[in-house]
Amino acid sequence: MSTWAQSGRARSGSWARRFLAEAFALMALGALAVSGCGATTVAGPTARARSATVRASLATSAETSAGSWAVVAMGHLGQPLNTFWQLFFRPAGASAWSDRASALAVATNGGLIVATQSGKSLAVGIRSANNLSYSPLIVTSDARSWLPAEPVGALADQPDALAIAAGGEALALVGDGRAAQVLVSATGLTSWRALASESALAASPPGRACGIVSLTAVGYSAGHRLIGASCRRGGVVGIFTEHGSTWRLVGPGLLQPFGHSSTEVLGLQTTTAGLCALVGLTGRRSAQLVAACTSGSRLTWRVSPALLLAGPEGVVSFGPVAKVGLFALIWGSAHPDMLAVLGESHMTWSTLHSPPAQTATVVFAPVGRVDALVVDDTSFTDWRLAGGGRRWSREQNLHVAIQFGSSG
Amino acid sequence: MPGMSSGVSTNNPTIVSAFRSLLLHEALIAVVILALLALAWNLLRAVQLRRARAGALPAGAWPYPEAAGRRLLRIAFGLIWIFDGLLQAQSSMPLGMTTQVIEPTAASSPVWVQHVVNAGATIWSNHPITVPASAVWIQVGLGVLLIVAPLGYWSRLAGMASAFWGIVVWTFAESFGGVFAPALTWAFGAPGAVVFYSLAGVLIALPERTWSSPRLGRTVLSVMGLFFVGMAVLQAWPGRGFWQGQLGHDATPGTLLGMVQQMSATPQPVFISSLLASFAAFDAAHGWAVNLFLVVCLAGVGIGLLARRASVARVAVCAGIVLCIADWVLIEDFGFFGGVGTDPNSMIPMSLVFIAGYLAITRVPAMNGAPVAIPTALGDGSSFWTRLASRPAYALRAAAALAAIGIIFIGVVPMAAASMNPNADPIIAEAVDGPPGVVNTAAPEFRLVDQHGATVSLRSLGGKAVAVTFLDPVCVSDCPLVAEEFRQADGLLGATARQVVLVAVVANPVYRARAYLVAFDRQEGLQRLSNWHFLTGSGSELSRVWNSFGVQVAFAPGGAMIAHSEISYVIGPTGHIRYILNSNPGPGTQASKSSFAVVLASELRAVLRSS
Repeated sequence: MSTWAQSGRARSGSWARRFLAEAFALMALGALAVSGCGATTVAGPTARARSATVRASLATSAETSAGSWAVVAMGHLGQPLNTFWQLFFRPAGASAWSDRASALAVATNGGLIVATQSGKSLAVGIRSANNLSYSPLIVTSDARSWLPAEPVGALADQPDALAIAAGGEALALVGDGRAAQVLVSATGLTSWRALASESALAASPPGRACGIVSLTAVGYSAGHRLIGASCRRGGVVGIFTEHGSTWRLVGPGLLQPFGHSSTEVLGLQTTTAGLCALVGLTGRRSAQLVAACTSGSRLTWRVSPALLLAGPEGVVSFGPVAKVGLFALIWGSAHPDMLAVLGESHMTWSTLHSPPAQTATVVFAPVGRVDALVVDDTSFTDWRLAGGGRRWSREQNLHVAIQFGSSG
Repeated sequence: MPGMSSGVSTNNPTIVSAFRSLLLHEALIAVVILALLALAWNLLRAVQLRRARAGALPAGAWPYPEAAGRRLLRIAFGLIWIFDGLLQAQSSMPLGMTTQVIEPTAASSPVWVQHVVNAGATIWSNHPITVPASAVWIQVGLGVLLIVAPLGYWSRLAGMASAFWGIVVWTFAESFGGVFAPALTWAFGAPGAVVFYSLAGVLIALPERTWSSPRLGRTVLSVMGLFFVGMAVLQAWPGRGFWQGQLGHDATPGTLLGMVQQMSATPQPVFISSLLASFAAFDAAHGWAVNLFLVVCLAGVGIGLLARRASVARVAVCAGIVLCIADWVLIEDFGFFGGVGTDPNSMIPMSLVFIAGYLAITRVPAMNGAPVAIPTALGDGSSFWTRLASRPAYALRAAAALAAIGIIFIGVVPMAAASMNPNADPIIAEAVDGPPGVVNTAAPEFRLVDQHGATVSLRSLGGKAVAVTFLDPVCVSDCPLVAEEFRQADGLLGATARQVVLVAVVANPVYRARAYLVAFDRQEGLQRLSNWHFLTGSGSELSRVWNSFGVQVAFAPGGAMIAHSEISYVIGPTGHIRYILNSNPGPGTQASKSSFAVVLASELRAVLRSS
């Protein structure tokens, strides 16, 4: 039997062996270190608790003189290119909805942003998706004829990324991150030019006072151009208005117990009386909503009580309620979904009967009718609040012919 | 990873048929090489016989024995390379290699690994016929060379070539064997099979005298021992999902169970898949015990290989062989089932290396006698030409080695050419859309306005080659890809682009304002092309042009984009349509876009040449 010791060169090569052994040991340790670097821990069942959050859904409703409009996502919502946002229309005085998404003549995977010009016309911005990097805009006043407007850069993923003043001037929030910009068009949604950028605003004194995280909304109040933002600084509501060539922070300051909550302006909704900002408050344990409304040219704010979200994560769909204020439909980790209406005259929230499951948004028609729009894949169902507000009755069901796979 | 795939389905008949055809043609070249070398060998034999009759032939055959360990490595890895080469000839390899082999491994690796791997994958994706066929011949040639060249320069050259090609495969095809991926484990084949091919190649490439001492074998066993111990530690590391058969209340498969289940689902004989399914069930129930067994075995084999006594090493080698075979069968699933297996995975090569190490310490050539001068490079002291002219066996091996090198070059030359060509093979475009239609009819006249407001008619473009297509400026999928293909084709044309005009007609009845054309041009970087015209007009003008070119445009329901025909025309300087291309851009990968651009550019050149 031969062993290594039988080698005649064993003694003379002892230093070399030691050297080799040390080298290999170092290599092995190196390999283990590399392996350790590559190793990851399999996620356990418990995750570190995160802050509660609330975010805005693009699903919304709007009113024009021609009728009611609703924007909802349909299709396979887990697959971005098989999610198709639909634009439903119900003529004034009618009871049935119809899908008008095909009139937009563009794929709606990225989402739809709607804005009205004093209730006379509706502008629809189609968010970019897949290989399209800018947003087409199209306008209608009667829901039959559509006129394309000049395109803008990619509209932000925010329901109030587009706003039109009564005089026809428009603001658009485009891009994301530090590249986000607010563009302005003097009239007719044409000749867009840069008005403000997130990076410049964040670097300005009012931006630093807020600690801007991102720009989130644009709007008008009594002729003032407004930009909404999310703020890192607790208790500061990031609403900015133009003052000469600079911007001023004009959002309301929140008192305790919200003084430590970071805030996000989810929307800047034009109401009958003026403008209401819907603000999400993010705390360690819970998320809350407050509304701040202004009606005069001095941008004096009245703040509503907080609406406490039952779960740690919430999504809110909001829109106007004619002559009352705005609605907020909240869903997320808490069940059942909550539908609340803000009365801006008294700045109070009133909660309505819980809408049916999978309600995407709600429509408050001027005639007092309330509809909950429920979507499931290609099915659209309209539920009407009936029985004195105590139950929802099914009114209409539509099948939308979605062409899955058509966007890439 | 943009270059990772051509995006065409794995069993695309155009690609498969072209791949088989190229393999057949290259096989014919290999046969010609073999025939020529057989002829040369016959001539040599005639010389040898004449010299033998004249009494000039020295006695004796190959004078020195080859170390057993080296012979094992050389022949076994030669056979494995040939086997791998044949696996490369599977019809799913041209398109499946990147998507089913490279991409899954690279996906879990760090970004820098993905960048490196992407460089190689891009070459493969761009040339899905040439590169896989080249890989077949390189590997078959390497295997043959290893087998037929037992000693001397050619044998060592074979070892070096094997080591080099192994590193290439390990880097670009195996994503560094997944050593930088989180689920690194011996059980799944870490650090990659081809590492052992390279290691064996290095050992074969060492001077033959290195094998005359047990030191080499001891070094090999020490390296393997440390490797096994390291792998045992890694296997025992908590939190990597190996200690549980299933995770959590929802019975998510643990890391090992997940792999076994995945392997058992690949297409293979039923008895093998049921064997794997049985092991998966056992691991699901006893995951902790399975991992403990594995850790103990790995540590035991590693420590045994590090031991100084040959008897202990023998036990460790035997245990290692059993462990490797068990893993090869139960976890690696023999490594080559499923249609895109490229090798038998790591367990067999790994075993061969440590067996060779053991043989190198126990069966050293001429250990019992006086030290023998191991032959210098060519086997003895006589010159190459003398041996060639005098020894039949040497001449045969020389001829066979030359044949093997010839076979390797059948692969190396086209692969090198493909690697230096940044443009994709036109076969990809043909695989997606079929061959272009060849016609010779007068093109319909049009008169529209371009993105700058200038009026453009076909007559105004007379004397130039014109490519016409139809694009929706707010399209989210195909039109931007077609536009990119046009832009790339313009780049490929170089100075010839001055004789070419690229034209797109708006294919959306709503967004036809010039602002949309300008936005689209900016999006696609087309505003820099002076010969690019994106044309629009009134609804009726556009309808007329669409109809005259046979283009359908329709509103689509449900939030989908406008539906329109995807077609392009290549019009000659005389105003005649010469080619009609289906311009569905298919998957829109870098490879497919480049391929379409190559086709378009070559057709534009063709119409200019023929005018």
